[in-house]
Amino acid sequence: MEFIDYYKVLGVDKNASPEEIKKAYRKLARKLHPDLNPNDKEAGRKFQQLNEAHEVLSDPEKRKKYDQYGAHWKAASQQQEARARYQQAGQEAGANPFGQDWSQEHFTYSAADDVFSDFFSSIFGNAGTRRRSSRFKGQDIHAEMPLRLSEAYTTHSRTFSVNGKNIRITIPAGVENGQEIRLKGYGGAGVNGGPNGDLYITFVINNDTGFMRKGNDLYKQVDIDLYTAVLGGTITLNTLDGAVKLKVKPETQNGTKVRLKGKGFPVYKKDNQFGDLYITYNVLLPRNLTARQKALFEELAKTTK
Amino acid sequence: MDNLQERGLLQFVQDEESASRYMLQDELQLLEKYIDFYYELGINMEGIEAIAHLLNQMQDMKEQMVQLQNRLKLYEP
Repeated sequence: MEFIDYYKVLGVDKNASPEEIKKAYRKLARKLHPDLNPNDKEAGRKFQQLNEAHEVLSDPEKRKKYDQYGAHWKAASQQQEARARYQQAGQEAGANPFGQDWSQEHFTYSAADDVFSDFFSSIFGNAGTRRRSSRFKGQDIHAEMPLRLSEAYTTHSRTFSVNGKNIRITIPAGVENGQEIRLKGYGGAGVNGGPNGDLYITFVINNDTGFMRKGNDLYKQVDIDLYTAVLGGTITLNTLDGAVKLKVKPETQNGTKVRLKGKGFPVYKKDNQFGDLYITYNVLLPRNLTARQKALFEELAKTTK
Repeated sequence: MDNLQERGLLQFVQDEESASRYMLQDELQLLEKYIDFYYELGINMEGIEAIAHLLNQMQDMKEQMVQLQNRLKLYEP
């Protein structure tokens, strides 16, 4: 990760006053704050960066250290550690306190070593909460969970992992496509001791049933032959709840709709409550008639004249 | 807190016997949000009210969009 210029992040000059820094921070924070940019990962990332820049530049000591070490943080950090070790050794052995010969220690600095988080924690450590303004709730995480419609018909559990944590949730029957649930505290870690964000799961339901779903009601078009439509009969229909026998009334017209009460989809979080199933009959006209069948139809046609 | 309640941004439950006010846990998240807006982002109460209104509208629109998408799926595979 490349070195990040905190002044550039805030859009201020290196000589900016504390008031100018605070003003610049607030102006950008009003645009990038996660609560004002729901579901925007890029804004969230920029806000974290902005927050860190403000944390450093608004603290006189941190700012001084940052200005002093700048891009050479690693070398400076190693120098500080070496100085501390040397002084410790000197004090213990009674050595000459002037003997801080830095030429004996060679530090190599590589631009490739620049890592933002290493940079911050190496100089400032875990700064903790300096004041109330540095604590922020962690970022909310938004995720999609695919589900088949046939699975959504029954209440069931599912296990998944987020940020290395295994989470087991119970998905109530009847959940809708696009429905969102919130798992409090399972989001991103809080900033500087702030509370964790939340995990939002949106269900994406793929219809694998052959029924059309509208809320808690299901719809299906069923083909019946001409003879059953005219003379009446019984057909077997597979519902999500098992097979049902349907009585077809004589002289059923094409497009007739039949309602099967309680054979629809379960109502979300309401035990034993179901929507209805609507069947639309599609009467199929016969094809490939034999000569005899055609003759019988012609005779039938004569009776209507 | 009174200001937030008067503006309809938060709701409290009053215990008639003890006259104490309580807040539901979900409302606490809203309170934290408003505190951040006010102290961290320097947004005044009128601004917070406007933002809360817009965020609610956004949420309604999002839910409406999902319903419409679900209805559209009936006609398009």
